[in-house]
Amino acid sequence: MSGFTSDIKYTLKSFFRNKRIVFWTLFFPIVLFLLFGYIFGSQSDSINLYYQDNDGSQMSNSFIQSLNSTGAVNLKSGSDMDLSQMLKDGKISAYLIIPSEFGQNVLTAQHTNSSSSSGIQIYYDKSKSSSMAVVSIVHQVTDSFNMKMSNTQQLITVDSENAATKGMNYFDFLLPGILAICIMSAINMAVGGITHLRDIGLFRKLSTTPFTSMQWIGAKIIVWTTIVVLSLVLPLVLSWLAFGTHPNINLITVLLVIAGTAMFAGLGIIFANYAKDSESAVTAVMAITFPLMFISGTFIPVENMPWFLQYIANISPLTYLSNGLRSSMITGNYGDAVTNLAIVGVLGIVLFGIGVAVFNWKED
Amino acid sequence: MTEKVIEVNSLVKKYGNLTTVDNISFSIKKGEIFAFLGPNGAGKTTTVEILECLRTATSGSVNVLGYNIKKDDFKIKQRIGVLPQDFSAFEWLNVYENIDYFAKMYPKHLNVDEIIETLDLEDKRNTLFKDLSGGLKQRVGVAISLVNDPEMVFLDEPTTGLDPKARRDVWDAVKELKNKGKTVFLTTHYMDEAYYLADRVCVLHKGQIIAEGTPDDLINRYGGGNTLIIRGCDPEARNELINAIPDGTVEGNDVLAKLSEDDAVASISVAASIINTGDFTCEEIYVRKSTLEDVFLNLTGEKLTKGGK
Repeated sequence: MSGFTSDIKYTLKSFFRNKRIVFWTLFFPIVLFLLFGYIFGSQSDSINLYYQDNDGSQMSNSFIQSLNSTGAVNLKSGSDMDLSQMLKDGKISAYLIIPSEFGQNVLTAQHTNSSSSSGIQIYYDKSKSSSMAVVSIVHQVTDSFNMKMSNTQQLITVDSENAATKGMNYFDFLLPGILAICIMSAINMAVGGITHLRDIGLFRKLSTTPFTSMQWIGAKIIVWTTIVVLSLVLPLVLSWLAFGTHPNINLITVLLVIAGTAMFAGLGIIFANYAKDSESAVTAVMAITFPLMFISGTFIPVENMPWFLQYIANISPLTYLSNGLRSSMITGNYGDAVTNLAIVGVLGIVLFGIGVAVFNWKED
Repeated sequence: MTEKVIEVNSLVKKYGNLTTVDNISFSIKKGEIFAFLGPNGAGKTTTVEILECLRTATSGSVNVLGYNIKKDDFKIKQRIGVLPQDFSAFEWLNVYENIDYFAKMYPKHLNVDEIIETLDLEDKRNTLFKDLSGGLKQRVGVAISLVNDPEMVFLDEPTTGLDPKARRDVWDAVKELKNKGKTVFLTTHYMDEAYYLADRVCVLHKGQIIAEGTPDDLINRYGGGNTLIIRGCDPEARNELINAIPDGTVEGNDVLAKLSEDDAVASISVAASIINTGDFTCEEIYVRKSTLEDVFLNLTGEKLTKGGK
């Protein structure tokens, strides 16, 4: 056995013996999943979406059909209802308005190759968790519909076959967010691991052996990925057994996990390199990752947040990881998943590359 | 002629305008315990870490086991063992696993259980590192530094923070290394440790070597001689004693006199005679030998203080 495999074996052994770390890494995501799932997802599994079609055109009908074909919401016509009042009364969580001349405006925009002046309006009650899922679904269907209408290559589509089997509830929405948070823990592993070993003099010791820092990083990326994958298994199994979710694990999902781990591990290595000691490094990382955990579309859709938080969410790498996982595993919006994978992939390569380049355990 | 395992010439290490190692030269012979003695900031650890290929020298030449540290660091690393300052192994691995972890870092390594036996750690073989006492942790550190059967072992402040019993245990382990034919490079700020363990001592002060030799040689040269101390004397006794003993001085109720090699026995006899014949009262009479602490004090005007780098 070489130093490389020895490092993998004994790092994993150390990890599993430290019950505190095991809890926070493997079981805390389960706690989060259950906690947020029951707080926000205590409503009925099926989500009712009332709509008013003020256009009545073939186009608006087609949009309704697209939305209906996802199977993610129960569409109910609210033509003769005061949906605004019903929303205020808390009787419904969201409703959709298709404005008059919607179809005409879309066709005009299509011919003139410009943006449509007629947008779909969705009104929702932020206090109801199901509304968050509704907003997310409508956005995704709209994206898909736009792409189809503009006759471009169908990069973004709604997989009606898969989607038809899904009745999306809040646990479906939450699961990819929890998984993204699990992947984000790679940053804590990298920062905590590197700064702790540096503090206790282990790097100084290792740098006097023939083992190289690149071998160490190589071993660690295997260890961190293994732990991240293990941390994903428990929420997946729980969501499948207890909440009936059927996440679709595919190549995009796998690539997102790898790219996300590389992205956060790279960030962690960079942080650790410039941190004075483990305490300050871990505190700094917590100060950054903790808020990101809540504002990156993990527990609630980004669209539901105030504009300034949306701005931060848009520059949070966790947002793209979370959205990518949701699109690839839950909604089947593979176009969106690929876009997010591309962002996370590029960030993963760049950040991990910088991390490896700056990492050095030899002292000056 | 004894083989030199380390040769350092005109070594300099600078951090910006700060010179931490200032043009030092020394050599270490095969099989000896060589100690760097100096206070905090003297440049001991910086120097030793350059020799361990952990830091880069600003200028000067360094050969370790016949290899140049700039070109052959990989070969050097395979043949040296290092216990860094403030070293701690993996808390959640036991003694065997920690030693095995480091053993696997080398293409060739000793049997881990044999190392455990050598360091007398059999009883703690399966104990987690975090549950060991300070002395045992350092002994594990020494064990780890031996996994590749090194020709040269660097021990950087190996007993800092340990209780007297634990220090003795580590000292025994270091002595055992010499018995096995290893060359040991020890850095310490404990003068008793350097005196007890080292064959040769290099005294460092502000990045420079200010004295070098065997501990006794240094004490003889720079210690200022032994001191006769007659403690708790009444005033009459003090007067008689300082008149009779050359270079006698009074400090409180005590009479002190520096003893030179020529008149040491004579001075002691005179003091004993005066006390006995004059029926004076003195509490005790003894000779305090000079130490490396005195050597450092006489050379620098400063005391050796607790610390490290």
